[in-house]
Amino acid sequence: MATKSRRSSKKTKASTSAALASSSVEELLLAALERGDDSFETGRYLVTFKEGAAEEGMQSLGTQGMRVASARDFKDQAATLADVGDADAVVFPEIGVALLGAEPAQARGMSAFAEIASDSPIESVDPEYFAFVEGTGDEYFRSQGEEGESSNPGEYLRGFIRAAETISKDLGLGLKAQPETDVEAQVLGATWGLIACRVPPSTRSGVGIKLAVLDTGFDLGHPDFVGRPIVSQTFVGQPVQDLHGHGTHVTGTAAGPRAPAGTTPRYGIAYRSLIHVGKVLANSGTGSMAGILAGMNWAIANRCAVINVSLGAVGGVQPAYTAAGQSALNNGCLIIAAAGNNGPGPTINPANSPTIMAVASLDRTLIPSSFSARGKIEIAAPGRDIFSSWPRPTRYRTISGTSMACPHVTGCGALWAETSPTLRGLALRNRLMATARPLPFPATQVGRGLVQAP
Amino acid sequence: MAKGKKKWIVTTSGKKSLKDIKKKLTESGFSVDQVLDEIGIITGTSSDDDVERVRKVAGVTDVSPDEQVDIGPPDAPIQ
Repeated sequence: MATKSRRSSKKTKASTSAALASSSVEELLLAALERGDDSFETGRYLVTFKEGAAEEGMQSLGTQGMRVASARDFKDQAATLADVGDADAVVFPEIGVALLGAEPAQARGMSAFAEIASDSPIESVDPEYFAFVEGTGDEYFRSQGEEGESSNPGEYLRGFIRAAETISKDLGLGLKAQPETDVEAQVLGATWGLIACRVPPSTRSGVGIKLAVLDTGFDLGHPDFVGRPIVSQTFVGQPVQDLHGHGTHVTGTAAGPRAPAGTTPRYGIAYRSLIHVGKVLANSGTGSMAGILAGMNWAIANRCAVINVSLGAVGGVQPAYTAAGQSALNNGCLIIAAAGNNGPGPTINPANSPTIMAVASLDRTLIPSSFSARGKIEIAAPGRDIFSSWPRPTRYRTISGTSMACPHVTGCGALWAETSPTLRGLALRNRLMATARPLPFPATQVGRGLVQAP
Repeated sequence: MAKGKKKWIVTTSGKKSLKDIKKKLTESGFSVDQVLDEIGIITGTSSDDDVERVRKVAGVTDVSPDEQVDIGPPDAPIQ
């Protein structure tokens, strides 16, 4: 049986008390400042209803026991949020959107990570973000004697810091946020691997996509994953908690956060995917085919669209892995595996199965890594000097291997899967290969080339 | 595991009921550990002699020894 560990963060709890539907922007900003949150999220949620289903959707909020205020109740529909009192939600019928307070949303399991039933009137649930007037940032830039472009995210963050600072000053709290000179690098900073795969410019997040990592487990208390719903299961008789590190690193690349805390660069791809951690290798880094197959069976039963298998053994094609790969494709899933670190030797199993996608490793200069196996290769991805999460207290590590290349494809696969419900199984594999950036090396070394995000 | 017995991975065609195959495997002296419904695979323990009977069960397409996988220690330079 799968154990679902849904960890609610202190961060979320702190914001819950402040993020009411009627909270003022100042209250929300102050709460964000107090919790040291630079995600731009207010703590509230915006629910978008499907076209023509707004009425039904709004009624459904009421039938779920929410106190709902409607913009229609205000003159010219000019709803002032401060006037809605203790309402749990405010609906805007003309645009088919509702604003939900943090607590009523969480109490009903509504979040940006929750899956939405296909017959639901709800199209999507998204975090509400702070919005800043561009001029705020420009003004701040000038006062700092710098020049800036108006579409620069760094400016928004500077604006955020300034706004929060002003509010705290006005409230007499004496908090002084330090404007950071490298704030732009923090916002735009990403690992070389993510940049090579064109992940930072992608508008996709993997939302609604189940992403499985079959590995040594995961550091379930890693600070970068606080508040993230994680489904986990062990197949080796040890707790899922990763005491090796490999699984935490691989999961970080595939599904780590968009904006890790502090100066840490972005290293994760599908930051809103639903992570499924299957521990198929013990903390020693060892496992058996039986456990790996059990993990594949579990990930397919959970209909994970992408299944990362950064492991394997030297040897010929294993019919069991080929059968598992075929079952995955039949069920709209795709198993993606590391080609092996035995280069220039041949692709290891399970990556050498025809129904499983094999990922080769590239160096920063986009040449094949010397350790990367050759032969049956579908695609290549960054695998040398890859920065990602590592179990506490280390928190981050830079390591190399086809194990690190594989989750770049898995993460990008989740982003592609998000773009269309038809991109599953074989169609997803074909799309990943068709959109790869060609490289001047034989297909036996890099397949169709470097994986690219949508 | 009894002496002389090994762990095996039994792959099936997916066209026959896994329940029926499991029954035949047990009758052949094969001790079933897990039945993986989604991927049509049964794992378990058997002697080399008994496994020859398992190979002949209708719907079984492959019987291979379970193999160990080792990704190495956490401080390995290449992972």
